[in-house]
Amino acid sequence: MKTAIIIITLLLLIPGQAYSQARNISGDNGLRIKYKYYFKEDSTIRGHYVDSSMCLDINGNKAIFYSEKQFLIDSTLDIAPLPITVAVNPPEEFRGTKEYSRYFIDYNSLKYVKYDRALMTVAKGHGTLEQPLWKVLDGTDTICGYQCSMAEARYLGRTWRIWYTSSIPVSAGPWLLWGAPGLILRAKDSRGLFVFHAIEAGIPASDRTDDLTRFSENSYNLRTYRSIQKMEEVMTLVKRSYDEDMRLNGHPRGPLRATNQDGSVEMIELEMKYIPLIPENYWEKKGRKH
Amino acid sequence: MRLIVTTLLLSVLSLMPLMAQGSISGTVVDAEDGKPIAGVYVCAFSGDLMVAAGFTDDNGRFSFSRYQKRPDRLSASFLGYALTEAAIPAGESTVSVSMRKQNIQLDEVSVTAAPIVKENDTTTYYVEAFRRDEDLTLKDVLVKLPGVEVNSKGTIIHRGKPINKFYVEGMDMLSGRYSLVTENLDPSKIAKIELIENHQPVRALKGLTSSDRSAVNIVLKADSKGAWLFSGDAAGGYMEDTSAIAEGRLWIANFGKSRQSMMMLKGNNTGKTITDELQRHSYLGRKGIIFNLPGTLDIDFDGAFRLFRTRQNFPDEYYFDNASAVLSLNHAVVNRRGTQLRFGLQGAAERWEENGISSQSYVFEDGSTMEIADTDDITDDKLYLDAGMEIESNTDRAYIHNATAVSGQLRRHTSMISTGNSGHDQLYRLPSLKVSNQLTSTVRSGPRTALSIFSDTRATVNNHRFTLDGSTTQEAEYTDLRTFNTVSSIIMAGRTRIEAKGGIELGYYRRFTGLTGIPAWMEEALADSSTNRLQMFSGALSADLSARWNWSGIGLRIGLPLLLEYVKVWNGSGVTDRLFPGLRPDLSLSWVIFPDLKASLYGSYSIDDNSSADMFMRGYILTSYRNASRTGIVPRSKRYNVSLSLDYSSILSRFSASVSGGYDNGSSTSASSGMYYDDLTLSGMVDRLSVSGSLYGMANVKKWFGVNKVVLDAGAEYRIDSHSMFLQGYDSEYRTESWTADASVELRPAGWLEVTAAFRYSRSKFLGEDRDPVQSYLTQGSIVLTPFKSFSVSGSVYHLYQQIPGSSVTNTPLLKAGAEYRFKKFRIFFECTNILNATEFRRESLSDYYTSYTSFRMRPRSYLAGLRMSF
Repeated sequence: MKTAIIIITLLLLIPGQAYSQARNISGDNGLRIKYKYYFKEDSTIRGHYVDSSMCLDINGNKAIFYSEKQFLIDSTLDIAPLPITVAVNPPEEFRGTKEYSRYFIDYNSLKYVKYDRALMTVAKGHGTLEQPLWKVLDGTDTICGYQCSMAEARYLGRTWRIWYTSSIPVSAGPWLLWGAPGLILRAKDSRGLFVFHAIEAGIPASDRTDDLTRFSENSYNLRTYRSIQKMEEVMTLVKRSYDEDMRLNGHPRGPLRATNQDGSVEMIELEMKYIPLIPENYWEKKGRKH
Repeated sequence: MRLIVTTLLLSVLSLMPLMAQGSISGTVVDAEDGKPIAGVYVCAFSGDLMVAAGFTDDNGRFSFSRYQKRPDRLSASFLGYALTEAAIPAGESTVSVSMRKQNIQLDEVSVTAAPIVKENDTTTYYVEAFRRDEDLTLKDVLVKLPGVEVNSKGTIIHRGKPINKFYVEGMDMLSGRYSLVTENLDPSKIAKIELIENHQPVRALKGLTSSDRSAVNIVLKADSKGAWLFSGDAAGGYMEDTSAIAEGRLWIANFGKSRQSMMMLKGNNTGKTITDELQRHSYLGRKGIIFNLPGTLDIDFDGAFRLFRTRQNFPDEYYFDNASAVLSLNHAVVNRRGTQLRFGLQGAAERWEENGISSQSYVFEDGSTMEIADTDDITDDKLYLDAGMEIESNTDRAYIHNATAVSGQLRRHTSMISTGNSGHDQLYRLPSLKVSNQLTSTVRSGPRTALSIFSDTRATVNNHRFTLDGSTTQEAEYTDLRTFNTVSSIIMAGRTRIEAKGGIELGYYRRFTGLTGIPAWMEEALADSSTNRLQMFSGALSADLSARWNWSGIGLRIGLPLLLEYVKVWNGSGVTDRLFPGLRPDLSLSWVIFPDLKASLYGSYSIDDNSSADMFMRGYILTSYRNASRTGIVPRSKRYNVSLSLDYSSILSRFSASVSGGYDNGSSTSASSGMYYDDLTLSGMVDRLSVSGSLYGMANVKKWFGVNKVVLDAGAEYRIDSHSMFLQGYDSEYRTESWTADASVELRPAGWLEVTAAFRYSRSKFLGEDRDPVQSYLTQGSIVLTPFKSFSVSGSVYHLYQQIPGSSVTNTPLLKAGAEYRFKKFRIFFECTNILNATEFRRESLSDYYTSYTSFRMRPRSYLAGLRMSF
């Protein structure tokens, strides 16, 4: 008995081998970087909206950028159809995110597919990645424990400043930002409208590629646009409450025409609230190639 | 013309910087084996400016021909290799880059988003959405999770059934003793709680048999995984009229994926029950909760004498006079093949005291009455120790689990019982020892077949002594050797699953009783029963054939258990043997109409010549403080019941509702002889036939709004109980009708306010009699105010008001108030219990022929202040 007690005591006293879930990353394994995304979706608001669950899943030279919150809602609804009680009185987690867009990017071919939705419009568009040419600036910072270098470039209509780390040698980054010699962990545009800030970088517990593809494609009213520019135009209109369907039903594009009681016609300019990540003037400068 | 030529020349020259100034190309290779690497991102820099970039092709080649400035260096990046930079020597146009492999250490990324996520059978609750700063333990969070209930014993219940496994980081170190974690783990260390429905813990049975029970897995935050966690409390105070009170706790744990340890030392005399934490809630191979009497840590140690101890349904700290200490040491390791080895040592020392007063007013058939007033003054001392070792291997092909344990208990129970005019001093000495081994083994013999073996062997020695008034002494030495073994085979044929189980139970039971110093009348009465030494052999064969069909969510199960038990008893007057047959068919039908809605129907019928233990009682003298009796005829009973229920539970819509009803009927016949010691003298054979039936219906709804912002719960139950009894030569028949309605609300409208209120009303009435009903009103409530993030105050109330014909009882409300200040990992707290200093708590009851009330002495007002910490 005494021996047994000694053995048990010794076993308990042996410090548990500090378990770490850290795993070695090789080229075959994927990476997931989670960003806080601060954005002004509406030019009239103070401060930013925040989605703390923007994920960049990198596998080889492919990546997916999406809101984890929206993914989890989709995965839940995929399994359990929305009960009527939820529709009437949605719990907090069903109120969703303001960031519905998802990007499936292939850096090798410089192609990407974007899914987006607003109101009842669900859209898919094909785009081509530009090659940003970053200028490395003086200045470093530590983000998520990684030493980062700063760089800047004019890219997709805005001047972006990025912080990238050479410790994780992949050229990817949040949204469509890419092309630095290391992973982009923070990015902001020069006007401070959009900020991506990494809060976690690690190994994904599961591969969500199939699910994300399925959730994005399985929409009964998905519209596909060959031109990303066209899709951006439509979605910008929809997000500015200028429902595309209304326009297609005869409502003219532009200011609303309102008839006053005295019969006079008044043109009401709609407030331009929604700010797209790629500014509208970018497309104008590029012409209608995309 | 010259002008044109000059202009063209200048134009070409001006475009020169934008055009290619030659080209740069090269190959990227692995530094170790020299093989080219495809897909490497190569950037060309001129100073700080990136001038070109691209990926290597399948041969590891890259090429840049368009750049604004000629690059002077390259950088190559590829996951799995270190970032490599290479200079481009002036005049060179081909560069070779060698990259060295480099692994990066990264943690798994957490998933944070919706507070509840359901994926197949797993519902994940993200703890931060439910946790409040005031929450001390995991249990405080568990009770808030929609769909999860925790009962008063700490058992976690989902869909009305106790969970069958409790894991931390995927390991089950505590084998059912999970209160050691739920009552002690700081919830701020937890990332998420996973609730796994229909959990089949035996992997070899997956896809073959389903389970209707759920499991819980606790997933810690990254920095708490595999790290030593520490929490501790120290508090002191005083209780009015008596003495100092104190409590202390030290809890250290390490939950890794392959090795886990947990140590706890805890003690108090503040009235809070802690020995319950050592009890197993449920474990593999056994259904339901292992129910123990209050204060009993191991039911095998009950032995000869059933001791009385009260448990009220209001918080123990108002009435429970204790001095308790608990020690628990646990360790588990798992190897690469998944085989787990677990060690556990549990110890408890407890003194418990109770003072009670009860009164019965008997009204007999002839209209005469009798008043009996009892008082009891009980002290119960207990020392308990249990050491166990378990090994578990769980693969897709086979499952083996073996648990060996040695446990012992020293218990001393003294009481002064006063009945009417007489009082008795009682003393029990109850040493017990047990050695047990339990083996479960399952082999998946084919895709649709499995074979299981279960073996439970235990040897128990209870050497108990009872002394009455210092003179009458009864010794009882119980030695039990019992082994229960079953073999079962499961075969799937289409949608039908057939399980055939055969079992054998062998037992040898030896009893020695010695009775000395008994009164003359009892000695005379027991003269014919010279037996004080008994031996019994029991052998039982059992067979159980069950079939289950599953079709489109409809499940039908028919079970046909048969039992044949042979008992042979040796006593002073000879040898008796007998064969006991038993039959208990059952049928259940369930229909999962859609995933959240389930209907079920259950019916069973059983007929038993009651267990062999009853036969064993022949000639055995059961002695309590005022009677000696022996069962003369083996009782026979039959029972049938049918129940129907409809459950809707949707965690996602945060709504659950259930409706159920049923009828339960049982009848038994028995005869016994008894000699009451003092007041009530009764002798000779007493025949008894009793039939009881219950018709019941109940309904419950629960709705959560938001993340626990508002939780509404309401329920009602209606039942008619009928009893028919032939006792003491009289027929007695009566029916009662009872209603119970309860409602509760939890409100968390803002971060600084949390209010709960619960109300329960019950009413019962004898049907066919012109008597007023018995009614009771129970009110409970609590409030937590957090005016500042680090400071909160709380209060709670419990109040019971009862009405029976002719009297009513209003108990003094039980009030408690507290305050807590939190800084970093510490909490300073103060609490005052029983603010109104209630001295007694009364309950009333009404039977068909008597009324009674029971009163318990309460702990006086007390104050406690201390420090809690968690790292």
